[in-house]
Amino acid sequence: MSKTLKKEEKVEYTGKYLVLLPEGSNTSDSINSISAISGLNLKSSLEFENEFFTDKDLAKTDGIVLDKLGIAIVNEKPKIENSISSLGESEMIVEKERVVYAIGMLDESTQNYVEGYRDAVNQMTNVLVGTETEDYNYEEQQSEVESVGATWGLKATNVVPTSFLRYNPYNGAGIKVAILDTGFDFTHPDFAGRPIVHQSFITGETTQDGHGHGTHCTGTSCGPASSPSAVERYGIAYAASIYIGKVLSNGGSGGDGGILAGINWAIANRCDVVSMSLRGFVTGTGYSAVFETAAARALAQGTLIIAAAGNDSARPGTVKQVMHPANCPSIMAVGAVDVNMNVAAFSNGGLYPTYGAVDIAAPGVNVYSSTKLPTKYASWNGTSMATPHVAGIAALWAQASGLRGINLWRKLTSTAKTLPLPGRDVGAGLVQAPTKTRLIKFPIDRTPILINPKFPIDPIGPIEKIIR
Amino acid sequence: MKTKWLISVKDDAMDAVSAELRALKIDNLEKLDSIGVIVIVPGDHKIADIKKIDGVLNVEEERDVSI
Repeated sequence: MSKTLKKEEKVEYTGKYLVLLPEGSNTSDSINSISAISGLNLKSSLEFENEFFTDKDLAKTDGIVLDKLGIAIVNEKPKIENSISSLGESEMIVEKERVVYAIGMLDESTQNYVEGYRDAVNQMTNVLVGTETEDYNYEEQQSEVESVGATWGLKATNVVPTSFLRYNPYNGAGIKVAILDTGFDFTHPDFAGRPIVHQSFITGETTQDGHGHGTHCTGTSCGPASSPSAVERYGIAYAASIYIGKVLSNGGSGGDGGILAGINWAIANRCDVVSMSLRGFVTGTGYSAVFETAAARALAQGTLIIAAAGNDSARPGTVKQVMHPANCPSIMAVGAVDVNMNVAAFSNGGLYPTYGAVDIAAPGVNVYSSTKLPTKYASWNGTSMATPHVAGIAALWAQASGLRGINLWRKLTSTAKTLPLPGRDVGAGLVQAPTKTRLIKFPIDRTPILINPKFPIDPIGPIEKIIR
Repeated sequence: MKTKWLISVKDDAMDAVSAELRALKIDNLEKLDSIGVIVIVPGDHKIADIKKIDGVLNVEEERDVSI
């Protein structure tokens, strides 16, 4: 499928306008300025409690300036249109407000603002009408955590939190993950009934995995939450949509033209994340300009490409550079760590200041996952195993935050757990999954110590005066 | 098997570059529209010939990759 075949999307508008105020301007100055230019009478969001306002509030004025965003929402009154055109002639950018049906892409600052807004409203609701939380029993939760078997990698990355205070409600639902590798074993029982879109880019070979590597990587990134035959949970984004692109032969090799074709296919299918546990050996300096252009275009279209840094090092003596195509600046390069949070001996490092960096690290030693039958499961080592950890967790973040492309990249690196290791080897640190905090309500069975803050009750009791 | 060449192309120049390649008798080409790349089997041409085409950003030989 090519870009030209994509379905045309009709944009609908609400009738309101969004006005982007000049960078650095404050709200009250902007309101005065807009009034002078256009005659519009705007209010500041600061005038509303918790900056929460409704359409009714908006209808009572010409518009409201969102103080934290530097954006004005101008309503649809008939007299507005002429005034709006005068704003466009100043330094302000004016857009019609679009009708939105689902969570779209937000940049990180907007995301944080909106989340902060939501949290403030939730907190106020809790104060006024009480919390609506589930009651959790400490002992039950603790035993639940202990009974859930999961690989060390899933625990270390918080896909399966080890603290009962945290839980992970995300599963990758609605997110498309492409695994470009040796294909997939479609007979594997852990994936029975799971819809999988697949395409082979290897002449003369179907997408059926004759090697096992692709099935292992798919298992880590998108394997099931539970399995009757696996000894522990190994899959991360268990509800994500799986796209298998066979770009490596059953012998485990291929040409990078096929990989570009696979990336193109993934983007055409609107995949959010592309996982590539492969590498071309690099001896000199520099990176592929063609792959960099392709990856930058992928990011711009909301597709994040994640690739293995390579396994060519023999630490501590020899550290090889990040290999092709992970050495491209627009491809996220993944290094490997072991269960003790040491850099894996084989994991390549970022040797150059302007390109070829390791961007993030993930579990890559003794990684248990699915593989082709009859073996069914295996524990393998490699940056190939670290890469699908990041891909699966990227899918969880994409679901949790709505972020895509470069914003998803930033979310992954900004939330990574810092490790006491050189950035050359682990980049931003150990990738971490999004989690939530359990709300635990303890029964109140005692009289509060402070009934009236002005007249505290002495918890010790009155001191008797002893008269001798 | 002949080594393929990977050609990255400026935005909106895919059709024009494809036409130029066909004019050079390179008919065995694969257009990857979503990433703006064309993969060709080059025949007797030189990379410099391809780089001269208006709209071409870069030309590289295909490399081997493995797990």
